[in-house]
Amino acid sequence: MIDMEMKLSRRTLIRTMAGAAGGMLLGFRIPGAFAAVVAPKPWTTPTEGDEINAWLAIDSDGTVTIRVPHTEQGQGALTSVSMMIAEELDVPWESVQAVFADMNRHVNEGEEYIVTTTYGSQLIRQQHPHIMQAGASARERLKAAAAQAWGVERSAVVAKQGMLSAGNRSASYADFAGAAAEITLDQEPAIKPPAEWWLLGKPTPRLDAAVKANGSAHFSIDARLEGMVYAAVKSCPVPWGGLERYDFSAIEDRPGVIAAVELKAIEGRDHFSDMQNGVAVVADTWYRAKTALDLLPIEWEVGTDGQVSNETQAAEASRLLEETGEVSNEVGGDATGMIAASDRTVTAEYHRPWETHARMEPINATVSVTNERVDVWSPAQDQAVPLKVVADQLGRDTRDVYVHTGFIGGAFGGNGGGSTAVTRQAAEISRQVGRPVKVVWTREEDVMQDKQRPPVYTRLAASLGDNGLPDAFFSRAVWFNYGGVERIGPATADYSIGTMPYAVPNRRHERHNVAAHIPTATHRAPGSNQNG
Amino acid sequence: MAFTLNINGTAHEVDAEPETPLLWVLRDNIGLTGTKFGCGIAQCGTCTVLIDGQPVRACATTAASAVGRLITTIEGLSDDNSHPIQQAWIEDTVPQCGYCQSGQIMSAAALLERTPDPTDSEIDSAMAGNLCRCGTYNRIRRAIHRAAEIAKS
Repeated sequence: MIDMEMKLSRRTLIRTMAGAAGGMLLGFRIPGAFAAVVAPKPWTTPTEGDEINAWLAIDSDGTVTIRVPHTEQGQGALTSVSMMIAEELDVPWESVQAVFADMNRHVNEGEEYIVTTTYGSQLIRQQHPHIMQAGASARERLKAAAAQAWGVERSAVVAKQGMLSAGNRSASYADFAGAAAEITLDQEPAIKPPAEWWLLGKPTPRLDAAVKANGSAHFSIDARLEGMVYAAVKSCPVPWGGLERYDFSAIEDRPGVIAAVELKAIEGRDHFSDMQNGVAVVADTWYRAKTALDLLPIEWEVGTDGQVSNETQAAEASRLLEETGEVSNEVGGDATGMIAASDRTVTAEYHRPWETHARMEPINATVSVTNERVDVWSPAQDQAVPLKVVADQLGRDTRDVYVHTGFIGGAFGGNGGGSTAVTRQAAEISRQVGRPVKVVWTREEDVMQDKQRPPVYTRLAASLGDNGLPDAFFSRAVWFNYGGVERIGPATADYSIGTMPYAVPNRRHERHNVAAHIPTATHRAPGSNQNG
Repeated sequence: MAFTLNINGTAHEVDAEPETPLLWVLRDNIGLTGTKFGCGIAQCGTCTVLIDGQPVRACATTAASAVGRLITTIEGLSDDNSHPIQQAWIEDTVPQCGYCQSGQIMSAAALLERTPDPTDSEIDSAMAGNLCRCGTYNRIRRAIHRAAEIAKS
């Protein structure tokens, strides 16, 4: 049995709910109230209220619990997703509480939440239709349930601010929530046009401001479990290099030290299989683990990739910039010929280096492996990912794995930055030591082992017409990316520039996709900000 | 080695090496996780706490050096988010991801204590050591001015 030590004031504990599994759910409540953070235990059977669909449940007192499947990394998802559903459902904003949705349910029961990550600042722009639809559908099913009970047409029932009414009859949403869950609509309703909005578009305080003003906001790195131990890790400084040997006897007598655990890179590596060969020191506090690891003699086998440096990479890029690349887009006539023939040209070359995400919350994960279940805390931008990664690492059924979503101390990367490796590490160490383990990377490890943003070298040239505007434009981009072509398509190297909207009549765009020797990840607006 | 720390008005007996940074004693030994780990080398300000009212970086302050002194963490600023800085922070919804905010708030509280009505440049100077990757700096400055008003009223 796992219990988190929740350092919450009485005021923070606005609401607790006992789930069928004995779990306790803490929710956020709106203005003035101080809210707690994550469900200490996942809710497989969500609330004591009636669930109308996966997105929401209504309690007998009218409290509407909205389950947000996205992470809250500062972009306001917790508040904005709740607002979109409250808008369609038409309930008083004060009656809403937001919780993070259960990823176990999502992964194992048909991915009801459709998308559980946010990337490219797309949450509201791209996902509002299905999120608002969930609220609209619940509202119409409440109306249908009331219509059935009252013997009237659904269209005669008005749903407004948590109340259903028709003629002289009225009832609260809560009265019909159970019946609404059983309703199937012939046709799902359309979402509201902006002209009908009563909540969206109005400045609304973020739900999480209060907990982030008193230290009670719970981040992954804050997980504390009974019997938990701590691990500091070092991975091979050259990714995919080997661990030759280490000498645990040199540190095993240090205070608090429990074990050293060898970590092994995974064969058939892909984007989510980036745990490197390395070693972890486990101790009763993180600082004891870290200081012992600092003293642990380790020998690495760095292989030929150890010869790669910024200089060798720059030389390769320079060579490729002289070679014709894959043509990604051509517009008009012979752009390169026009530039070569022109006496009014502009040329430039831009280099973007490797860049780490350097989130304020260092890379970390906590995992508890038991025979019955596996519990995971991981600051991943998509909380379904750590569930799948841990199940894969341990060879467990995804139904056994529960992810506890907390706040995320920055994200900056569409695919979760570097948290997949650390989550595998925590799972592996917990399995081997038989206790819950929190792994925290030092900032040095975080910068060195985080998946880096691919570096880009771009050469640009243009010729200017008589009016001073460019009449021909040429770009050639070289980028170094790990698995990028397979994962996010070949266009990303010159994604933005190749499709630029400027009215240059003659253009030619080329690219070289080069395999990187280290794991890479997107980092804010992938493709666009490297070359656009 | 066991020693006693006075944290938020409560005496805590701690068993740790005396050179252990106060940050890890707060987080791991005592369980006060409101104070965050950011860099470990006093460069980001995320771990800021008050010792005898002065802001210090808990990651680069040994626990032993805090013995006999009054340590205040984010959890000890108020019981109910009533500190003027907290009120202003909530009113203006300063935090985004929130990870750096405990440190920001502690630095701001210390500033207000010694400079009740700080100018922009005094704020910038006092807050210069606290990084925020969400870029909440403008709101932080505005909220400190607002907190000064709240404190006076």
